[in-house]
Amino acid sequence: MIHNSDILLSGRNIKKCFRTGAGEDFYALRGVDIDIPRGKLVILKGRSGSGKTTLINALSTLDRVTEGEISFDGEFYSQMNDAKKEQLRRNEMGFVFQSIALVPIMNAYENVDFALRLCDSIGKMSDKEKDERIRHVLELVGMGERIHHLPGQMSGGEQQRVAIARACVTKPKLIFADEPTGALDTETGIKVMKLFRELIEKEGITIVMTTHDPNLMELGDVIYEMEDGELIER
Amino acid sequence: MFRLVTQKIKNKLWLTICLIIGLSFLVAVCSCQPMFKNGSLNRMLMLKFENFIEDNNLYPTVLSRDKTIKYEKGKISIDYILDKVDEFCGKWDGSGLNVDSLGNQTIVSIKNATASGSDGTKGRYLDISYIDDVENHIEIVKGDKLSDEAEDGVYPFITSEKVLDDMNLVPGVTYEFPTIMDDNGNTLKLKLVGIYKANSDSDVFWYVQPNALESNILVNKTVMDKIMSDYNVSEISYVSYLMLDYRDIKNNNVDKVIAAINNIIAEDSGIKSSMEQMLSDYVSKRSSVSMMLWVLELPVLGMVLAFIYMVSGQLVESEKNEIAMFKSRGFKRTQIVMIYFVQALILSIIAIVLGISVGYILCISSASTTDFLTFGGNDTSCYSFTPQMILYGVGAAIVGIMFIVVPACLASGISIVEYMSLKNVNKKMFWEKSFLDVILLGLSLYMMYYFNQTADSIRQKAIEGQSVDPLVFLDSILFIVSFGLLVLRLTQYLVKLVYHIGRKKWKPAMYASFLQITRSFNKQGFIAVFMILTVALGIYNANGARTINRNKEERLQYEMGSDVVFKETWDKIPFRVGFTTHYSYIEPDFAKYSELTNQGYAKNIAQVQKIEDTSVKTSKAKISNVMLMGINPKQFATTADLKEELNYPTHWYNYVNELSKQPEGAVISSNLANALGVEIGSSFTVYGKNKDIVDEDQHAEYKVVAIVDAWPGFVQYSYEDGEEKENYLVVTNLSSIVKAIERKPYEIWVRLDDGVSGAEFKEKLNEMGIQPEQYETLESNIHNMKTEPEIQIVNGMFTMCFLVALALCGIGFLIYWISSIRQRELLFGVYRAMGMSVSQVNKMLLNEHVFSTLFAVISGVMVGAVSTLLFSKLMAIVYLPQKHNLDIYIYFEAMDSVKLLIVVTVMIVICLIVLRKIIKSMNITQALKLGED
Repeated sequence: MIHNSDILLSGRNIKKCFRTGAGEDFYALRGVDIDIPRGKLVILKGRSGSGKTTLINALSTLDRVTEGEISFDGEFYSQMNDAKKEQLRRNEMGFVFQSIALVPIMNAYENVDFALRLCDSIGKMSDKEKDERIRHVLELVGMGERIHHLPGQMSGGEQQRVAIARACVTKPKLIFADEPTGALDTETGIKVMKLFRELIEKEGITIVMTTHDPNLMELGDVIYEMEDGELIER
Repeated sequence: MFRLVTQKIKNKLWLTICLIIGLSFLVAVCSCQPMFKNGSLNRMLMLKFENFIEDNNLYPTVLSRDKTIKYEKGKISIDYILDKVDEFCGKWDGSGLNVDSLGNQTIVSIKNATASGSDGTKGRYLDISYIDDVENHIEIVKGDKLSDEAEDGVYPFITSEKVLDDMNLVPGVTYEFPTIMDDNGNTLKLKLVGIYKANSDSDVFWYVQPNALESNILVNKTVMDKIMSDYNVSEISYVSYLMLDYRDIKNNNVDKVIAAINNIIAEDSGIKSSMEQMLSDYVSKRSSVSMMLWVLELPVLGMVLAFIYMVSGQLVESEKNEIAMFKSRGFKRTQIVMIYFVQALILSIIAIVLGISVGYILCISSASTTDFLTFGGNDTSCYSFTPQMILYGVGAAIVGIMFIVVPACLASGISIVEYMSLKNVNKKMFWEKSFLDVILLGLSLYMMYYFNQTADSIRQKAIEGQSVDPLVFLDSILFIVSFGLLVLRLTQYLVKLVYHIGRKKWKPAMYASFLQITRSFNKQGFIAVFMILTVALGIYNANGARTINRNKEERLQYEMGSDVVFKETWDKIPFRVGFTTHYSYIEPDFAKYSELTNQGYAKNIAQVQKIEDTSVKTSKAKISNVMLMGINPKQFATTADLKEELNYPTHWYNYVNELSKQPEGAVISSNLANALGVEIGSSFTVYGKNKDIVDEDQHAEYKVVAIVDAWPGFVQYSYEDGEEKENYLVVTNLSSIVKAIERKPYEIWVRLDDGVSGAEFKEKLNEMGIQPEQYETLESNIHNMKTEPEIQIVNGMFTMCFLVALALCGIGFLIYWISSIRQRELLFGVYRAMGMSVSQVNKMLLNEHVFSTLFAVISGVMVGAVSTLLFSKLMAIVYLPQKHNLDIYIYFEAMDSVKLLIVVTVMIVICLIVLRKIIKSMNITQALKLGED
C-alpha cells in the first residue's frame, strides 16, 4: 500500500464475516478497497443491507474486520490494542448516528462538554477556552440559542445538530456519520449536509457519511456506492 | 385477549416474575397475619392456664357446684347425690362444644364434726368425707385400705399425712363423734386404719389435692351411706369439680366457651367457674394483640405495595410504546386496562398459592424467634393453618391487582404524541415539590413530644392491660419515612453541591455519573427511598427488639439477684398457740454447699433470708410492707449481681462492707428513708410479721448505715390487677434476724460457675440428696419471658418485617439497576463509540452506586440510629410499663448493623457483577443498533 499524505484513511481488501443463526458464514464485506481523502465529504451510498454500516463500523474501529488492513494516518488498526483504538476514537474521530443518541439527561451544552472532557488534549485548554469552544461549535451548528435545552425538548433536526456539534468539538480529523439524515425530513437533511460542508471548510474536518437518499448525493466530494458487500465503480 | 396476555408475560418474563414475587409477599404478609394472631392468642391462652397451674397449683379450667343439703333422714343417699352430680356434668356435655371434660371430683362431707380420740385427745373438728371413685386414685402408705367392715359398730377411715399431722391423729385410735348419734343415742365411732396419698402427682382426678384437704377423713361409700341412713346429721354438703380440658379451649372457640359457661351459671347459681377472670383478661387483651400485629406489619405492607407499584410502573413504562400503538389502532382505554387486569388476575392466582405457603413458613419461623433474627428457640405447636389465611390472601391479592392496574390506567390515558414528548422530561416527585417530608417530619416530632409528655398515661394503660394507642407505633414509622425522605433530599442537594464545586474539573466518568444521579433523581430516588427505609427500619427494629429483650432480661436478673435461687426443705417441729399451729424450724447444715463451690459448680453460694411484710417504726413514723433481708455480707457480695452503675457513684460493695463492720447496722432503700425521714446514723425498729404470737419479742433495733436506690432482689414497685404498690427494704446481718426476729427457711442464692447450667446444678443438688424447693434459675426465667406472647410478637414481627423488607429491597434493587442499564444500553454504546473504555463505563456505574446506594445505606443507618434514640424508649415503655429500679436503657447492638450492612453489601456486589457482565457482553455496534427502532 502506497502511503499518500492526502489520504487520511485507507482500507485494503476488507472482509467481514458474520455467523448466521443457522451456523453459516455470511460475508457482509467481501474485500473492499477504499481511500478517504483529507478534507473531503465522502458519501457511501447503497441500499440497506448493502454493508454501508458494517464498513463504517470497521473504518471507525468500532468493529473488527475478519480480513484486510485499515490504516488511519499511516497507522494500522491491526497493530493497535483496544486502549489505543479508544484513544483514537476519543481524539481523532467524531461520531454522528442515525439514532442521534444524545445523552438524554444532559442538555445541549453538557452533551458537547462531555465529549470534550473525553478528549485527551483537554488538559491543555483553560476552562475559558473550553467554554468558548463549546459555545463556538454550538453556534456553528445553529444551536447557540438553545444550549440549556434537554434533548427531550428539541426537535429531531435540532438534536442531530447538537450531535454534530458534539462530534466536532474535539477538532477531530474525521467524523463518521451513519445515516445522519435518516431520521430527518429532506429539508432538514439538506440543512445538515450544508452544515457538513461548512465544517469541512471552517474546521478542516474530513467527513465520511452513509445515506440512501439520492437528493443528498450531489453535495458530496467523493461518492462510493456499495452493493452486496462490495464497492462498485461509479 | 388471553393469548395477548400470555404473549405479554412471555416478553417481559423478568418483570413479571418480580411482580409475582411482590404479590406473593403481599399475600404472604397478609395471610400470615391471622395465623400468627391465632397462634399467639392460642399460646397466650395456654400460658394463662399454665401460669395459673404454676401459681395456684390448681387445675385451671374447672366448673364447680357446691351444695349443702338440709338432712332428712333416710331420704338422701350417695347415689342421690351422684345423680345430681351427673346432671351437673351433663350440662357441659350438652353444650355441644369440642371441649372434653377430663372427669370430675366429687366430695361428699359431713363438716366440722368434733372428734375425741380414744387416746384422750380432744378439741378437733373433722370433715367426714366420701370421695367418689377415690379407691382408684390412691395408694395406701401405711395400714389398711378402705373397707366397710365394721368392728363392734366402729367403721374404718383413712386420712392423708397432712391431716394426720395437723389434726394430731394416731393410726389405730378410734375417734368418737359426740354430735353425731343414731336414734338409740349411740355416738358415731370411726377408727383410723390407714394413711393414703395420691397415686400419682399428675392424676387430674385430684383437682383438690390430698394435701389441700385440710381436715377431711375418708370413709367408703357403704359407710357413708350407713352414716347417712342410721345417724342424725344436720347437714350434708357436697362439692363437685368438673375439669375441662384446657388444651381444647382455643382462640376460635373461646367465645362459645364463655357463652356456654355463662348459660350454665345463669341456669344454676350454685355453679361456679374458675376461669372467668382468666378468660375475660384474655378477651380484653385479644383485640390489642390483633391491632399490635397490624401496626407492626404496617411498614412492611407499605413497602410491599410500593414495590408492586414500582415494578408494575416499570412494566407499563416499558410497554408504553405498545399501549400507544394499541391506542392508535383504536383500542379503547377500558380494553387496554382490561388486558392489564387479566394479566394481574393470572399473576394473583399464582401469587395466592405461593404467598400462602410463604406466609405459613414466615409465620412458623417468626413464631420460633427468641430474639431479633434468632430463630428456633420457641415452641410453634400453637401455630397452624387457618382458613382465614385464604380469605386474607385473596383480599391482599385484590389490593395487589389494584396496584398493578392503576399505572396501566394512568398510562392508557396518554396518546402516543404525548408519550413521545413526555419521554425525557424530568419531573420532580410529588413529595419533593410539596415538601411533604418536612411537613410529616414536623408532625411526627410533635407527636413524639406529645407522647413523651403523656408517657405516664401510656404506662398506666399498658399496666392495666388496655390497648395502647397505635399512633405511638405509627409515629415512629412516620418519623422514619419522613426523615428518610428528608435525608434523601439533603443527599441530593449535597451531590448537586459537590458536582457544582468541581464542575469544571470532573473527569468524563464522574461528570456523566453526577449528571445521571442528579437528573434522574425521581427514578433513582424511588429505589433510594426503598434502601433507606429498609436499612432504617431494620436497624430501628433490631434496636427496638434488643432494647425490649435486654431490658426485660436485666429486670429479671435484677429481681432474682443471682443465677439460681432456691430453698431447702427444713425439718420443723409443730407447736400450737391457741387454735393455730406454728412451727419451729431446724436449720440444715449449710457448710455442705462448699462442696459445690469446690467442685466447680458454683462460684459462690449465699444464704439470704427474706421476710416480707414486716413493719418499721421510728418515734415519728411507721411503715409496713417492708421486706427484711438478712445476709452474710461477704457471701452476698460475691454471689449477688447488681449493675455497677446503679447506686452511682458508690459501688454497692461499699454498703455491704458497712454492714459487715456493724452487726446492728442496716442498709435501707431510699424510699423507706424518705418515708421514715431517717438519715445515716438514725435508729429504727423492725417488727416481725407474727406479732400475734410473741408480740414484743419479735423486734430488733437497727442503725442506718447506708441508703440505696437499688439492691439485688429488691423490687420497689409491684403490681396487682393494675394497682401499683410501693415496697420498702431493710437489709441487715442474717444473724441479727435469727437472734431477734425469726428463724425460718432462707433462700439460697447461687452464682454459677462458667458453663454450668441451672439444670446441671439441680442435678448435682439431687445427687447430694438435697431436694430444693421453689428452684428458680435466671436462665429458665429468661426463657419463659421469651415465650410471652407480647415479646414473641415483637421478636417475630420485627424479624419477619425485616426479612421481607430485605428480600424486597434486594430484588427491587436488582430490577432497578438491570432495567436502568437495559434502558441505557444505547447510551453506553455511544459512550463506548466516543472512546470511553469499558473500565471507564464501569467506573461511571460504580460512581452512581456509591452516590446513590452507598449514600442510601449510610442515610438508612443514620435514620435508623436517630429513630432508635428518639423512639425506642417510648416503645419500650409500652412493653415494660412497670416502674422499676432499673431505668430503661437503649441498646444498640453493633452486630445487627454489621449483619445488615453485610447483607446490603452482598446485594450490591451481586448487582455490580451482573451489571459488569451485561456491559462486557455488550457489543458497541449492537448497542447502537438497538436505538434505531
